[in-house]
Amino acid sequence: MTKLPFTKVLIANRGEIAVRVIRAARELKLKTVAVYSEADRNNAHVLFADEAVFIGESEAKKSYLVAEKILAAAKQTGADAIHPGFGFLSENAEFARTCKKAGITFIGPTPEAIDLMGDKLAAREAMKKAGVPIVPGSDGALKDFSEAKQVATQIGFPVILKAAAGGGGKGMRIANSMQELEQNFSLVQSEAQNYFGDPSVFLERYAKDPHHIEVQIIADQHGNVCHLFERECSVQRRHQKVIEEAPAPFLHGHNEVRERLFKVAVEGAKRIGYTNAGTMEFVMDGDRNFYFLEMNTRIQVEHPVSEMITGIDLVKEQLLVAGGQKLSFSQDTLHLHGAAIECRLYAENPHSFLPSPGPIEEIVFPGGPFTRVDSAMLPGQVIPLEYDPMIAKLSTWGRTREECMNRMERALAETVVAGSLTNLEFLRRALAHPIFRKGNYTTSFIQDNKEALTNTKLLPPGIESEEALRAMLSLLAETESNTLTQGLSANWWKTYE
Amino acid sequence: MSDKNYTLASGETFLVKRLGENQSSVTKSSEKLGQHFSHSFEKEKLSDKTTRIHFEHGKSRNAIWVYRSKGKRILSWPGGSIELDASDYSENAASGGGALKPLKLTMPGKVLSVKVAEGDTVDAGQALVIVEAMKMENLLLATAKAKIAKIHVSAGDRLESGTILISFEAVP
Repeated sequence: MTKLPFTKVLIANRGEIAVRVIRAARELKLKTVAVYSEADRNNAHVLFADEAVFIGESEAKKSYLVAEKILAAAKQTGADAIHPGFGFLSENAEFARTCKKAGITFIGPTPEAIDLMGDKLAAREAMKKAGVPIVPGSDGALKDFSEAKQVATQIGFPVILKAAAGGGGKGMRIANSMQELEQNFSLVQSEAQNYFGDPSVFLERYAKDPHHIEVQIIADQHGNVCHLFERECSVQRRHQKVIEEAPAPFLHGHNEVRERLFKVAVEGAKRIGYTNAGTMEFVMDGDRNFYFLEMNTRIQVEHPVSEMITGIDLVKEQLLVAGGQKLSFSQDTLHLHGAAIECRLYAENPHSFLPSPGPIEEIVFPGGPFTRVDSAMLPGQVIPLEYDPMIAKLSTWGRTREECMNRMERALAETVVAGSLTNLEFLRRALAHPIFRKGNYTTSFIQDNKEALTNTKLLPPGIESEEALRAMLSLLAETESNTLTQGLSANWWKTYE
Repeated sequence: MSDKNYTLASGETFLVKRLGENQSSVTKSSEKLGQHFSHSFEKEKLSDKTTRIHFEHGKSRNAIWVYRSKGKRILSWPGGSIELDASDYSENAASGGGALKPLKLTMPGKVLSVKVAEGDTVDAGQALVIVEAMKMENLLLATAKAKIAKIHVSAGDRLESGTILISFEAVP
């Protein structure tokens, strides 16, 4: 193997993605440096890294988002490369630029590419020029509400308001009427200012019940741009993906559409001189017309499904191409093999989908063939309030989608998280749902099937009735000192709204 | 230790028998229908707050992890979890008599701004508080016409789930 120009990688992130990057770096025999906030003192990413540097309070604004602290940690440990993971500083062009100036290799695209794609409006323009189809919407940032009103009237409701500097489901709201547009306009504006430091907001037509299809891209510095096929991420709630799969079941038997999609994505990336890993996100209507949404200039949460169907370690490729090497494969040698699904295990109320972070008293992960767990959770940890309440990503692979789904159902049924509520039951119901099984689901899948996906009177296995559950609880109450006995003698059973 | 009997308002009875230090059986019966079922449980303490309960059901053996924190229990098992909330019950019982339910935070978050003042009368759908939780701004709206009796929080407060934000008075 040719030598890389760096030997020690600092991971400017936390949790499972930090662990993911450490794994790739270690396999390449690179040294690793973790950074951690107060809340992450005992996180797995800290344990797995060769060195670890404390960078401040739990609030991301005071730790993971402070470029100076990350760079100081790199200097202190002699790290000569930084992998930003996703979120935090991963799409901050200024940070990438500062790394470069400090002689540190930034594991990601060029600052120019981040800037271009980070400005959603410039990105639209650039993709339009590259021949990539785009969604009808406002030409540039909206000056004020009255302009928003005017554009919305022109293109028709529903529309979606987006922070120009946003991404990852943050700073986005749908408006179905003028009243909602007015209410949401200032909300999105203030979210845009608060989270991304830029109040610019634009507006697009919101396709009803679309499919979310994306293409994984990776490019080296020698002009080679490859795609790792597509992913479908239509199982979403509050614009956040929950289940992702590759290849897209909606495109099964539509190879002509898939080829066009890949061609457009690769061409778009080539035209902007893109390097490293990135994802072209598209919205696809029922007739399989697709439009460019945005390009994420970083590794993505759901990258494992693309890895599983291609056998490529994307994070390793990221490190290699950032070090100036050629991609270790070419498009011709890349083959799509089987099907993969990823489920995001969240600490959340499975009925209201509200975050429910708490302690992880005990955790049992699934195992067995072609079953992958990406997590940084250790038993005894508390899920911090400050960050995403994701506990783990569970991924399975199968020779067919059918085998893959059955394997995922099996894996979910093995998983235990004690101490916090999780969406496990929800995920199992989604996997078993006939619409999901058939593979023809849209982004409104959860909303449309909420009742079937969220059982409000769920009982543990082996407990046949509410009475049996009460009996078990009475046993507990009997052996605990307390007030509970009182609650017991009445309706213990809580109905969720 | 002696056996205990629990009688519910419905007339059903649970008889909890101690079989050993960590083993018990529960038999449920009612006057009308006689004995419904009998389960035997083994209890295993994992930590101060978490107990694992093993029990048999037909020919299968099952386990449930029970996590205890103030006023609630989280029950987990392979593939699922539920929350049972004791405080919700007692609160509902206490707030009979037509008092309006206070506005409570349903997840941990930070108050960004309070849109009303004490003494204001609000209509259903009116914005009360903006809370930032899990990186989203959430607009909390009034569910009915009411008078603001007391505001318990102010902008900048970082609050735990379950915190009461605003209490209301009925409007005549």
